[in-house]
Amino acid sequence: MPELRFPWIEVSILVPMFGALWLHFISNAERSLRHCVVICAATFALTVGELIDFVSLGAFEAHDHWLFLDWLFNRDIFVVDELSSYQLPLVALIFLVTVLATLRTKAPRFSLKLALVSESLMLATFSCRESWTLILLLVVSTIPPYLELRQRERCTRIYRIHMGAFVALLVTGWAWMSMVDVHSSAVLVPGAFLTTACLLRAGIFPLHLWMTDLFEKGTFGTAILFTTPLVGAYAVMRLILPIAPSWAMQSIAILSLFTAVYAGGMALVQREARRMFCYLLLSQSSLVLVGLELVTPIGMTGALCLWVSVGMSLTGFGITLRCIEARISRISLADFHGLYQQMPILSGFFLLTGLASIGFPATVGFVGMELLIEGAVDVYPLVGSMVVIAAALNGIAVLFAYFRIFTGRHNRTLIPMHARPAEKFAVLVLSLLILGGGLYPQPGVASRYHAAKELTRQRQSNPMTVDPKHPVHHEK
Amino acid sequence: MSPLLESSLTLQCMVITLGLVSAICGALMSRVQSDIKVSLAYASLTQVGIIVVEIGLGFRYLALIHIIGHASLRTMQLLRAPTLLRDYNELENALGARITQRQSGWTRILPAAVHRWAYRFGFDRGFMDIALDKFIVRPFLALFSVFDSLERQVTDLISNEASRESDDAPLHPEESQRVA
Repeated sequence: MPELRFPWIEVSILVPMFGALWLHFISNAERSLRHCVVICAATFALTVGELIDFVSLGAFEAHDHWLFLDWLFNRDIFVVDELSSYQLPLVALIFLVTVLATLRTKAPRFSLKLALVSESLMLATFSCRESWTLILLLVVSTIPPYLELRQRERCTRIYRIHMGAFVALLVTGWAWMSMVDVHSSAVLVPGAFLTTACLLRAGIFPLHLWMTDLFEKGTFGTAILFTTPLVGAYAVMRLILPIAPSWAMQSIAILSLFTAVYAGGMALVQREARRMFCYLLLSQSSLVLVGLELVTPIGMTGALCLWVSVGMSLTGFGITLRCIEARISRISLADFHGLYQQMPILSGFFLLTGLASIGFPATVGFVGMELLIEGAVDVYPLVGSMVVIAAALNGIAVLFAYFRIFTGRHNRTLIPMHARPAEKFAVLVLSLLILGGGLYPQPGVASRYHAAKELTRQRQSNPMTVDPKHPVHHEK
Repeated sequence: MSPLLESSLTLQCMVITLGLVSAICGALMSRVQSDIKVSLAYASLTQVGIIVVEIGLGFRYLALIHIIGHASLRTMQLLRAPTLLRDYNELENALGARITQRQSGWTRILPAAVHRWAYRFGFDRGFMDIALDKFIVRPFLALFSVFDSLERQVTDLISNEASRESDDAPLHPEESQRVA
């Protein structure tokens, strides 16, 4: 397997881990926040380095050149391939902008140490392929939000029940899978266990209540960090796609489509901004799953493009709401707040990220949504139109929230509402990526299409997953 | 004719019907407007409806001529509209009275009740906003409010307490003058 020129993967996993230890010895909250920003920025730089190095290699997969933990792990535990190369910088970016947008006064409530530990676990998760290490990382990554809920003395029952079921199904399914031949029909039952686990983690109806509960009871930052990287979709891509037959995947796509429409409708009846955001995220993440579950090259390309755009745009949308909440507490959507005059930059960013999440032209989400709709209609001509309905409902929810929060009678407040330099920087970075990705989509789309074709080729090599409707033509 | 329209009689009928409905609705709506430019906008809608009927019937060259002629005429009307109103004002000032409008043939034939209904139809834009609100928006929101209520009951049951802290969110926290 080709080697990267520097151990980007391991270093990017270890830096936030050691950073969390470092923060343990800093008692001052303001210094902790500054140091945390530096650590997250360094991690992001490392993941960008990994992406550039990987792209320059021109290979489908690669591992680190030197392995610090070679004595502990097998050489091929942490591998970057075309499917995960963009996800690693995306995860690091999500953590960086969320920490950047944390107000100094809120730093004590938002556990920076747990955030860095979560970042380390998530980067390790996205660097793993199907293996017991991936299963272990998926299980362990459910712990930090639980610890935070306990710290905040909130009821953890809903979270425990759902994550307990997730862990049980995941471990049982993988253990069973290890004992059967993946090219035979014996894989169907353990595959069903793993599928249920992954869909639970992704928040597919009716297993989504843990997500709304986490947004209700946890800190907004932790909830955003735990959900926006779309770990459930990654688990589906690594654990389910290689083994599930096309008929099974396309049947699950119906459930994901239903979830997308259901969550879009639910977002419209919420009276509070966090819950609206949670349902918006559920709807968009379900659309990503739809694309993966269609298992056609166009559908999967759309899903992979949409994954990046949803990660960026909904993170930006979420941190804007979080910035407002940090100043004035939870935002009711029952009346108009008139905050535009006091927060013009954040209001513009809110609109940009909200529209980007639904695939507005000239934003990074446009091409992905277009490909997803085409893929869905190709497989299910009538049901595929539900993708359009879900996107329309999400668009209405975004605009509804925008008008409720930023328009209306202007109320003068003594609280400083303008964006701080760190928030402006986070806004600028995300805006550039959202608009840049929308105006110059070709390089990203071409690489996602190549990755989707490779996924399809891998599925064609397994007799359980071969799809006669979409043969892969091998280049001579 | 367009190959798509040629191959489907159903589609042709749908296109013609939509064009006719648009033309009739546009004609009614333009007559009840109090603003000249909005009235001209609805008049444009009427012409577009007629053009769509022409396309549906397969008269594509007629439709093309109609589009060009309509574009030229409507542009001139829109540009002339402000000065036309000023000319009317000056004329009425000179006459010392309002210029009487001659009633159209339809107004003389149709009963007063139909006039009133047509006025309300045009003024409320074909009752589309009201119909949309009554038959689509409210049932939709009511249905999802029921789902929301069911989810609340389930989460309250599992948590054995009121599970939604967001219910206590103040309506206007920005007026409290206190930092969160």
